[in-house]
Order: sequence, then structure tokens, then C-alpha cells
Amino acid sequence: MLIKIAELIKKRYKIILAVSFLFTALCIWWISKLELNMRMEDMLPKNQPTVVAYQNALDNFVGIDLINVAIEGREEDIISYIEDTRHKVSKLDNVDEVIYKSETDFIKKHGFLLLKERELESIEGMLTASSLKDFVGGLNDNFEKEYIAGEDSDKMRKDRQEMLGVFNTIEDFLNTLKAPEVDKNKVKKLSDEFLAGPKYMISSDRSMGLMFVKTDIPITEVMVLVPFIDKLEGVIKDNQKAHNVKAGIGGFLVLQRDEMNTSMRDMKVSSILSIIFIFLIFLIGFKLIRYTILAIIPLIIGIIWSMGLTYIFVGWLNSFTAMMGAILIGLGIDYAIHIIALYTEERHKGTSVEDSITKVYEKSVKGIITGSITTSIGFMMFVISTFPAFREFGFTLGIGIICTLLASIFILPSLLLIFGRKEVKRMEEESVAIKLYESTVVKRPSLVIIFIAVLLILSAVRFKDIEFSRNLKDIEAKGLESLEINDKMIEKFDFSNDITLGITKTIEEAHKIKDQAEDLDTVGMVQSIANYIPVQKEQQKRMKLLAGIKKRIKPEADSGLHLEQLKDEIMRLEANLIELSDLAYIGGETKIVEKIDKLVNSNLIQETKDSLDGNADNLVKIQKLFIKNIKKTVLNANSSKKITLEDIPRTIKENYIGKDGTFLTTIYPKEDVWTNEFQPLYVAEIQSLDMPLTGSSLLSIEVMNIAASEGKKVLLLVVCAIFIILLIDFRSLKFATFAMMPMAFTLVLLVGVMVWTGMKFDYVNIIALPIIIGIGVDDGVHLIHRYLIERNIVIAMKSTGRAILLTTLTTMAAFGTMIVSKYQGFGSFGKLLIIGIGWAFLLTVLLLSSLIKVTEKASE
Amino acid sequence: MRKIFISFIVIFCRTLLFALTADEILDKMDDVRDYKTAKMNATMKIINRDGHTTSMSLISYEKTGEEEDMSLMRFTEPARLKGTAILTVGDNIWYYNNRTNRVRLLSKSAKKGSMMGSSFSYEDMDMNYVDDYTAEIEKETDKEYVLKIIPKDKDKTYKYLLADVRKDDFIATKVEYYNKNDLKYKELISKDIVNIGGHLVALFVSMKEIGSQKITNFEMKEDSAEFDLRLDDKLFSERYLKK
Repeated sequence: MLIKIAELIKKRYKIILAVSFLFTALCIWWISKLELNMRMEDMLPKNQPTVVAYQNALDNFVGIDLINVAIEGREEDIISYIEDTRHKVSKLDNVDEVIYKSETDFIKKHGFLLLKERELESIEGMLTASSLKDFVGGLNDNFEKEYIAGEDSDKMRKDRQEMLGVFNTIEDFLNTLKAPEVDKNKVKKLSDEFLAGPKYMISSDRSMGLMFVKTDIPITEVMVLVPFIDKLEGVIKDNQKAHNVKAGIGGFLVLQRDEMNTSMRDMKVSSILSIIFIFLIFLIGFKLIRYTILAIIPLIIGIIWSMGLTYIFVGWLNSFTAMMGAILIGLGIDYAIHIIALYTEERHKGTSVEDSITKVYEKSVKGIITGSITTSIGFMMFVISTFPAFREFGFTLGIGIICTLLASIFILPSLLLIFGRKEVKRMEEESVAIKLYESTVVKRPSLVIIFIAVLLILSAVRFKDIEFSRNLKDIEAKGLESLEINDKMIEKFDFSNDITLGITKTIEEAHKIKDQAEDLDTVGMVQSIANYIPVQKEQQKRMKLLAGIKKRIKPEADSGLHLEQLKDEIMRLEANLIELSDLAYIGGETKIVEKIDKLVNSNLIQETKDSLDGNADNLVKIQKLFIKNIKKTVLNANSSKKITLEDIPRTIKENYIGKDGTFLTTIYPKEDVWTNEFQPLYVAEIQSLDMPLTGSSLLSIEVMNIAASEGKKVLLLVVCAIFIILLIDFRSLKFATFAMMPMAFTLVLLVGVMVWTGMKFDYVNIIALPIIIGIGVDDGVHLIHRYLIERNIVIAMKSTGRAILLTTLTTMAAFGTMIVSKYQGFGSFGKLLIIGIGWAFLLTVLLLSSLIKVTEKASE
Repeated sequence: MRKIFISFIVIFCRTLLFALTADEILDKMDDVRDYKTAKMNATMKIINRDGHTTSMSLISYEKTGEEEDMSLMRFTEPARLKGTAILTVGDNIWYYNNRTNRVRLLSKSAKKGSMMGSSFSYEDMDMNYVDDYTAEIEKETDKEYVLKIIPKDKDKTYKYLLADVRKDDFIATKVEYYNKNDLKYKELISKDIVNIGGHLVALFVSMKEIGSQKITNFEMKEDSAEFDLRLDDKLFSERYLKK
């Protein structure tokens, strides 16, 4: 059969080349339409509840993934930047809304009904104050009730950001009290901030501000979304210089764009580097430029076919298949190496070009086909996985292997018939490596086996320590601004994008879920429409309480300052701050400690107290203004009508009420969801909630979990399938087992190296295992095939050794280029393949040869 | 009658007498607190996930009162906390801050919460097994029992504890805390058990919060504990806190 194909090629090589080039041109056109799709939800089964819920959320809620704009600089510059930029951003097409301030009007009007009764009682002194002395006293009461002697000792951790904001307001308040001039706007701003919080989203250290941009482009419309994000980024960056700030964008959508760009860059860089390295290795191995070029042409053609067919059958590349170029370069070149090695060997012996081609088909192509079948089985086993991302990977790479094989065994011989007629120089007869091989493996096979056994034991003892990383940050690209912004947001605002979303049909269910979620140990914060419309019964109680508070407000602010009492309250405030700081110190709340210590040590409190006597005229004005504004806010606050959906601002409604009338709940984890310890706790807890859950982080976690379990399944299937193929190929249990051994032990040694060097498996590099098996078995297959022909291991090694070494080096070089990837998942994938393929080669040369030699001796 | 800090360290490491039923083991766990008074110098280290460590030294006193157990924990280091103290008498907890010279009575429900922001709750340090818990033997090996300790009060922050109790000396070397969703959320390790004046004491007790990875370690030296010494009731008074 193979000889017949060789004859066909010799007769029809021009037609083969013409058809191949035409098909290649068609494939290039298809590749131009190929997209890169890094979305997690497309990697999971469509009927997965998380995916269904995510699709539902996408369909019904605009901008569930917001674009974050982070601005660094001085507070006043940040505010001027926000005020200027928000106008420019809102003029952009596809901008649904720019969220740049909190809903202070709604909070002032209805905010008191959102507070728990106990909280409302705690601030009563502040709300009913008729003097500055009363107000500071109320503030002190609140600190003492809530934080120092309060029932929830974890409250400080929960309210960290809010508390830090309050300390800023206190600092401004004290500065205002001792200021030589009365700034009316500042006094009003302070009273508003005490009651409704700050207007802008500024970090507690006043060095970073935030804005959020909501777009109407769904995440599925990548081709529209990417140019939009680029345009938005342009506006954000262009405006920063004028306001003396540094601004950047982040969030899930931006991260998707960045990862897509990074992956494309990685793909290009590693493919080009692979070609260059392979060219050099080939040149060093064969010392023939002509044959090096001839080997690379079918490889590139094979890859073009693979990518073209990927467009036809799949439509896009995902996180895994994005690496196909580099993978196929590493694997596909092997076929050309075996063909060229035998072809040049034959030509050197004086065999004609035509007969050399026949010899290639006679001696080498069977091994090449078996090798490619074992490799493609390594990939094809992914196709039967229930994990769509693996299915796409298996199918794409399986096709890729077949394409590069076909290109190698049809196009390369055809090219050789045209360009391979040049005489081949005589090569070195016996290399140092072969001499070393003879003196060790051939003469002392038992010693080699013992040495390998020791290595295996060293690996096996640490086997149980291997870890699977659940941290998406271990896989994501390094050095991305969007990721840096996310980290800074966590640091400055205790706010992360790693939210979980849940959808309920009724507002009552939203209340129930909010209560349940808030009770979970792993949940930090819950946001939903329930935060803005408390249950009727509670609203009733709070209205009554607020109405009582309103009645206790004196009609006018006190005319007197009660200076001595005010001084006492200010000193009480200092004592409270000191106690809070000490409690925070013991609890490890460093931000609170630093903030309070700075405030206390600045002597501001003492200076304010000392300035009171000399600033009485101003204080009277401040007291009048401040108390008037507090009074106005409290009296205007709603205490007579329950909050209904009509009262909720459009922004909030759009965030939490879907087009189909469902309600969105957003859950913020208490800790970093990407730590191995916290993640399973968090996932298990939120899954106890009675609603479908989704969100980008949950989707990513599912991808990782499925990849880990499916990876193991595929690995087992690959081992079984390859063993069956080897049994069929060799028709010998002994040689099939011998061929399997280097590959099996490779896995053991690979895990050993990983554990000893602190490497972990992750959802990207786990797919390297079946590939290592597929590739690792090839060397043994070639060696045994040649041994069965030659019946002498030294001759077999002399003939195939160079090809095996070259294929190993080229494969390692191709995968090694992935180490320079910015996308860390590709890098760790490349590292694993290099280690695995390296071990597979060493074990084939050392262990397989030794086993053959030992059995030879035994049979003698 | 309950004891606090020292009892806490002893309870997880004290010899239990025989191979008993689970409830009998619980009885013995309470019985081991056979001292009237105790004094101890210890170091408390709180290590956050980012490695930030807060180190404090403290001196602790305990006394079994006629009606209520009493304990006083006073910080000696660092300088900012020197003199600051926590007084517990029965169910009442007072916090005294030396820098402000003020005493505050904490609310009753504060017992469930974290003790001064550490990984321990006041509840963790004050366990009466006989009255408040039932137990089951989950597993028994040649060397240890694994005891499932279930609170009778369903309002406790944890659903149950799993304690590894050594058979030779009945010391609980590890205690795992499980929440209402059957998830382990805290883990306590007791090490370096020594006999001081006839009482087995762990020189190193570590509580780890699984989610936050925050760790609180109590460490002390062998010569830093004394038992059955004379302690005046005045030591455990609100007034004495300020001294």
C-alpha cells in the first residue's frame, strides 16, 4: 500500500503540488475570518446552569460587566477629571451610562429607611443634634455602640471602607472647625457626607477615584466590543494629562480584550520563534539549507490547512486552540525530519532520488503514520470529553496532525523529486553520542535501569504533593494594565470584579436570597434591589422610628456653642479613635490603624480643641449652617411612605431589575476567590442559595474544575487507546509494553520535577499530559520499528537516533517558545511539554534500549 | 462554671483517663480543669494572609469563683497596648484601654464574635462540654479517637467540631470547626504539650481561619505558667482593670 502511494507520488507529483497550493490559498482566505474567542461561557456546555443563567443575565440586564475607570492623582484633580471626562465618555456611541457618583439624592431622601433599626438608633444623637457639641456627642455614641462595645466584633472588618471614609470626613470636619474662614459649601458638603456618604467614589487615602462605564454592546459581540473599548481607552488616556492624573480602564470586558490581544501576540511570537529555532536545529542536524527549507514548506502548508479547516468546522480559536500554531510546528516537523533523515541516508548511499523516495515509504512512513496516529489519538480523545473547550481542542489539533502528516508525506516527497536531486555530502560516521551510548546503555543496561528506578522513586515519594491551581491569576497574562487596575481596586476599595450573580423572579425572593447570602461566612457584601426596598414590615418600623426622631429635633439650632462640652466631646472623640485604632491593631486592620494613628498623631484633634475659644464667631456660623443642613436633610427624609419601585433611581433599577422583570443579586466574596483555600468554601456556600448562580468568576471556576476532572479522564483514555494501537502495530505484548514504558515513566518523572520545583497543574497546562503521552510514545515506536527491521539496537539507534534527537529538539524548541508568552497559561503549558518531552527522549534512549538489551541477553 | 484562657489551652491537651464513650470523654474534658487558679505569660501573634504579623505579649489570670469563673488577660507588649486588658466574669466581658483609661462593658452577643479581632472567639475560649455539648466517636484507631462534638445550642457559630484525641494521653491535637453548611472554616492545632505542676499544657496553640488564611498563635514558655497560686478576687474586678 505505502509503496503504491510512493509510486503515485513519483508519477503525479506536479498535480499533487498544484492541488495542494490551490487548497492552501483557499485555507488562507478562511483563516482571515477566524476569530479568537476567550470567553469562559463558550468553553462550557451550553446547558450548564451557570451558562444558562449567564445568558439570561446578558439578555435581561444591560452591562452586567462594567468597564472600570481608575484615576490616580490628588483628590481635587481626580474630581475635576471625573467631571470633565464623564461628559466626553457619555457622548461615545454605545455608552449606556457613566456611573461617576453615588445616588446621594435618593440616599438623602430614603436612606434612613435602609438602615437597620439598631443603626438608626445609634445615630439618633447625630440626627437630632441642635449644636456641634450634640453632633460630636452623637458621633461618639455611634462609635461606642457600633464598634467598641458592639455585638458584632467583626463589624470593623466588614465596614472597613465605610469607616475609612468616615475618618476622612472627621478630618475635614476638624479642619473646618479650626479654619480662620467659614467655607459655606464645605460645611454643607460635610453635613451631607456625614449623613449620605461621599459623592464621588474616592479611595480612603484620597489617591484613587473610580468611574464605571456601562455599554450596550453584549460581550458576545467581540468585533464591535473591541473597537469600542479601544476608543473609550483613547478618551480616558487623552484626558489624563490635562488634569494631571493617571487614568486607565479595567474590568472583565477590558480583560477579555487584553487577553485576546495578548494571546494573538503570543501566538504570533511563538510561531515565528518556533520556525526560526526549528530552522536552526534542522540546519545544525542536517547541515543542509536546501533540505531545511524543503522540510518547513509542508509544515507551514499543513498548519494553514489546519487553521482553515478550524474555521470551517469550529469557527474560532479558544484559550486552548490558540496555541495550535506552535503545537503543530513542534509536532509536524517530526514527520519531515524522519523523511529527510532517511532520504539523505539513502542518497548518501548512492540511491537515486526516486528509489530513495520508495525507501522512505518502505522504512519510515509506517513509523511516521503510527507515530502520528498515537499523537492524534492523544488529541482525539479530547473530542469525547463533555467539556466543549476540550472537544474543540481535540478536534482542531487532531485535524492539525492529520493535515501536517498529509502535507509531509505527499508534498515533501513531491518537493524532493524536484529540488532534492543535489548530491548529499557524506556525514560523520559515528558520533560521540553513539560511542557514549554503546559504553553505557549497551554495556551496562542494568545500571541504567537502577539509575532510572532511583529517579522514579524520588518522584513517586512526592507524588501526593502535586497541586492543581484554582487561581485564575496563575494563568492570566502578566503585566496587563487591566489586571493591575483590578489589584489596585482591591487594595484601595476592597472591591473586586470577582462577583457572583443570581437572578430571582420576585422581589420577595430577592429579599430572601439577600438575607441567606448575608448569613454566609464567605460572603462579604450582597447588593440587590432588596438593599433599596426593605421588606414592608421593616420599613414600617423604621418609618415609625424616624418619625419619632424627627419629632425630637429642636426647631432651631442652639445659639450657644457649649464650648467646654464641645471640647469634652472632641477629646472623647480622640479617645474613641484611639480605642478603635487599638482594636484594629489587634485585629490586623492595618489600614484603619494607619488612618487613625495619622489623624491622632497629627495633633489635629488637640489643635482643633485649642482653637475653639479663639474661633467662636466662626463656630457659631458653622454650627448654624451645619445643624440647619442636618435638620433639613432629616426632616425632608421620607418617613411617611414606603419605598416602592417608582422611587428607585433609573441607574439602580437598571442594575437590578431586568427587562423581563426579574431581579439581579450581586454577591461579593469576603476574600480573594482565587486562593485554593477560600475558593471551595465560597463556592460550596453560595451553592446552598436557592437560585441559579453565575458570573465571570464562577464560570472560570467551573472551567477549571471541569478541566481538572476531564483532564484526568482524557489522560486515562489516551493511555488505553495508545496501548491498543501499539498492540495492533507491533502484534507483540512485549514491544507494545516496552513502547509504553518511557511514556508512563515520563509522567511520573514530570510530576516529580513539578513537585520538587514548586510547579502546579492548572486548567491550561493539564492538557499537556495527553499530548506528552502522544508525543512521548513516538520515539519508542520509531526505535522499536527500526530494531525489528535491523534486530540490533546499536544499528537501530545509529539510524533513528539522530532523527529522534532532532524531533525531540524541534518539538522542545517549538513548545519552548511558549515560555516567552505573556499569557502565563501558555508559558506553563510550554514548560510542562519541554520537561515531559525531554524525559520521554531520555527514557526512550536509556530505558527502552536497556530493556531491549537486557531481554536480548536473557534470550541469548 | 467556666474558665477562660488557660482552660482553653488545657482543654485541648489534657489527659483523658480511659477508653470511654464519647459523652464520658466530654465529662473528662471538663474534669481536667482541676485547678482553682492559674497564671500564664504568653505571646499572641496574628498573621494575616499577606504575611503581616501583629505580635503581642500578655499575662493571663484565672480563678474558679464560687458562682462564676473569672479571667483577666492583660497586654504587656507592644507599648501601645501595654496595660490594656480584657476581664471576663461569667458572661460579662469588659474591655479596658490603658491609653484612654476607659473601661467598656461589651454587649452579651459579643461573645460569639472574634476576641479582639483574633481568630479566636470568646466562645471558643469558654467551652463547657458537659452542659453545652454532646459527642459521637467518629473514628477510632490504635492511637486516637476522632470525636464529633456537637453544641446543644443551635445558635452557636459552628455546627460541630471534629477533635483528634490521642489515646495514650487523651490530648486533642487538632480541632476542626465546621459551619452550618458542613464546611470546615477554622482549624486549631495544639503542640508542644508539657506537664506543668501536674497539668498538661500546650506551649503552642494555633487557630487558622480557612477562608481568610488569618492565623492566631498563642505561644508560651514552660516556666511561664503557674497553677493553684493565691489570686485575690479583687484582681478580677472592674476597678482593678485600671490599675
